[in-house]
Amino acid sequence: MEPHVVAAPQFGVNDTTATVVAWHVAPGDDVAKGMVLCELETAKATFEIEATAAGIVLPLAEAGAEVTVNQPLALVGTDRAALERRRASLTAPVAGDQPAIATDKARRLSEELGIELAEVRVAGPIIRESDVRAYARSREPDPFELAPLAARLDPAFRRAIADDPGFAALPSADKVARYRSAGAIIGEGVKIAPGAVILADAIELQDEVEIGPGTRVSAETFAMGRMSVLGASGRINCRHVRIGDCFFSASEIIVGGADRFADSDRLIIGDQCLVSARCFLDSGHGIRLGNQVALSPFVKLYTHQHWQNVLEGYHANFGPIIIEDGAYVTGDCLVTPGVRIGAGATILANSTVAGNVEPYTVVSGNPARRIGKVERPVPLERKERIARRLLGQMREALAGVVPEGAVIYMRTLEPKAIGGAQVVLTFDRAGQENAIAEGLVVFDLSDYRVHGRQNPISDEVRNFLRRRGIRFAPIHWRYGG
Amino acid sequence: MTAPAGKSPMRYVQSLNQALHRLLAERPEVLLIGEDLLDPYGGAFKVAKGLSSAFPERVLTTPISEAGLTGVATGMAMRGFRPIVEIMFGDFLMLCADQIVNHATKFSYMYSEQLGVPLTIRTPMGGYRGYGPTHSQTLEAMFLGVPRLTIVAPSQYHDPGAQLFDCVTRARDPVLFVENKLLYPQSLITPDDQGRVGHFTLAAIGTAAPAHPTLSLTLAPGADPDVTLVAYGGMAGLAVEAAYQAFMQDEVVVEVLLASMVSPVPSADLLPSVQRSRRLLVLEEGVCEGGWGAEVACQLATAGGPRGGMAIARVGAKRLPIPSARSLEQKVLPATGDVMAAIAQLTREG
Repeated sequence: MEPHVVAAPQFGVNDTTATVVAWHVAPGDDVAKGMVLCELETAKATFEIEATAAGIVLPLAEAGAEVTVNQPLALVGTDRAALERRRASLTAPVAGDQPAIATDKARRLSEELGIELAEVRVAGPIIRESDVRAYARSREPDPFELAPLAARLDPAFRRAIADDPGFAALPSADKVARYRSAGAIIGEGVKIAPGAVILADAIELQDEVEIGPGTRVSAETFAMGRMSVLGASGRINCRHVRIGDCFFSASEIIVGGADRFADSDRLIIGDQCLVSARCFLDSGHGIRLGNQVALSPFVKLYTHQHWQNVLEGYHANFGPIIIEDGAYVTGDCLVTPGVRIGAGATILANSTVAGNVEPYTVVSGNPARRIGKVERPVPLERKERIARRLLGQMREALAGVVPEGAVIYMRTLEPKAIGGAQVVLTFDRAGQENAIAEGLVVFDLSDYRVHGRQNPISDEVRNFLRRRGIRFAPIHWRYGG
Repeated sequence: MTAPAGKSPMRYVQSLNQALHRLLAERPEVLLIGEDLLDPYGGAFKVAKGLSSAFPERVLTTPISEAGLTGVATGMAMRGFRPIVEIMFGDFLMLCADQIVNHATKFSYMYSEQLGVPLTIRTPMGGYRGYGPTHSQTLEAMFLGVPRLTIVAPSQYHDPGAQLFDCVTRARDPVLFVENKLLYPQSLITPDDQGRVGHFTLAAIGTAAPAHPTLSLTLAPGADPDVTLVAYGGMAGLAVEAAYQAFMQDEVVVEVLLASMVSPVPSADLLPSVQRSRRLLVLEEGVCEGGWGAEVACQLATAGGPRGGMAIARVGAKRLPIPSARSLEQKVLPATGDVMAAIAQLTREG
């Protein structure tokens, strides 16, 4: 178990430092969670600092020492060696020996990501948002790591494909039947639909996957999640392809390019992504799309750029492209090698992205420059105003399809006060169960989940909201992403 | 949260007082002339404390006669002395403006450089103390562009005593040495051996005048600043506080440039930062209109400012007499909120 860091709390509005009055534990003591470890004193008050976990304690500040907000005070853990290692990393001096403080943005992001600020090491005296983000990334697993596909397949079936002469002798239709019965695992060279060809060492397609006619897939490993759709006439030439649930591609996308089938050649796509018509994904040095990423038509992602002689002063450029959750690359954009597009970023049409894009920013141009940012988080009052306005637009748009009063917004969920409504939009968690029991479909706008037995009217609502970028879980098969 | 404070036992007023003691002790040609300078009073702001006891013949107290005493000091300067004039309140400089503009700064030129006028005029400026319309002003901008007049105004991040010593001992033409009233009781702030002042990194830029450096304070050393905030003297604290808040709240990197040479404008010290930030904010306590900020902005824009131009904002006093009531005075003089609003305006997207 990794040691737990007990850090100095925010003391008060005006106090940024405190003095360690006394330790109630000695190094190496066993402590229980909640046990008082030490006392701190500021100009106005004293604080007791409690153990946030049980284990062996290792104090990091001497009695009498001055400490600042967020400064690590003690480590608690079960493994002495791990405690010592951690102490060595924590007590490495920052420049000026001044404990780092964090900006408001860094603090907010660390809370959002569940990162302890005390663990973020910076060269300077102040922890910035980018430091927290970099630290979070350093802890992320390799974005291009692929769990072995074979582990997900039935071993007995794999053996049968490889070794069983009886299996090989089966007529094609029987083989397909076997594939289906063994979990929709389809072996090398099997046709899925007229004109579609998939070539791969291991392929795993789950329920309700559609592959459009004329599509050709050629891969060493290929996995595609539930309810995903590959459009017609696409070409996927990539060593490793892993596509999440509810992926939707329009027709004529091309995956491949230079260095295909190199070890770095992989395309990893998360859930609920959209790749529009005629996109080109040069996967040779790795492309990863997070969840709910959309690429508009004609977007080109290049992971290589080379032609002219580097000995003659030109540059060659290779590198993976990572597009984080919720980012939106709009029509005709070109993304160059090594670029990371942050979560929620928007790339306006016709841009050339030649450098990393900060999360939740809007960029445009060649080279793309930041022209705006998304103010987050959106306060609840503003969300409510937007939800009410959406409801008005929905009534207009769906007049004749959805009866008057069938869809309502409720600030507080009171099932008894709903009249003839069948669908409720709300941010309120309390009372949802009652509402569902009354036969209502509840769209919870606070965590984007839909509850209750869905009906044609709720389908219309869901589709209307989807076209405003509001997607609900569980995902509806009809609407894919 | 407050802007960081360094640790130094020396106060601004002490630094000046010690420099004056040293000047009178080491330089027989130095004299101090002004009103109410004698002990035990020691001057309205106690900068002259102890001097008349230690050097009774060389500390001259005069009646209320700013023009006269400046004229006398000018004559002495022409004859080999290095007099220091103390004008009790900067507002009263108007009384000796004729002596400064038409006489002291002209004689070297008019007499073909056969003589110098090494005259240092010290005076406190500034408000925020409820002293009302005629004892709270910041008027040095009125003396901008007077040929051969140098205006120096150190902040608490500078070494006011050393700068005063340099003015008095090295000047050939008159120097107006401006001391902000609010600074007198403040401790001088010096960086640690790594150039740190709290979380700020401080560096001296002495391209324009090594004895009167511009100080750069930034929370993100090495990074291109988003905004270059230029200020001097009594505005240093406000500037640093605003830079701190802008960074901690919004991660806007504000490089604070604290000039200590007010005139001529130390453009060479200021230009590199503005070329990187492309956003200039000038903060001064005097009235914005016709002020120092206008001169700084114009000089930087015309002296090779950033290609593609730069955004400019100014924060200063409103064009109103300074009220005595504290609550009203606060509305006329610059405040942190004004600086923050200007930073926000400069960095607004689009």
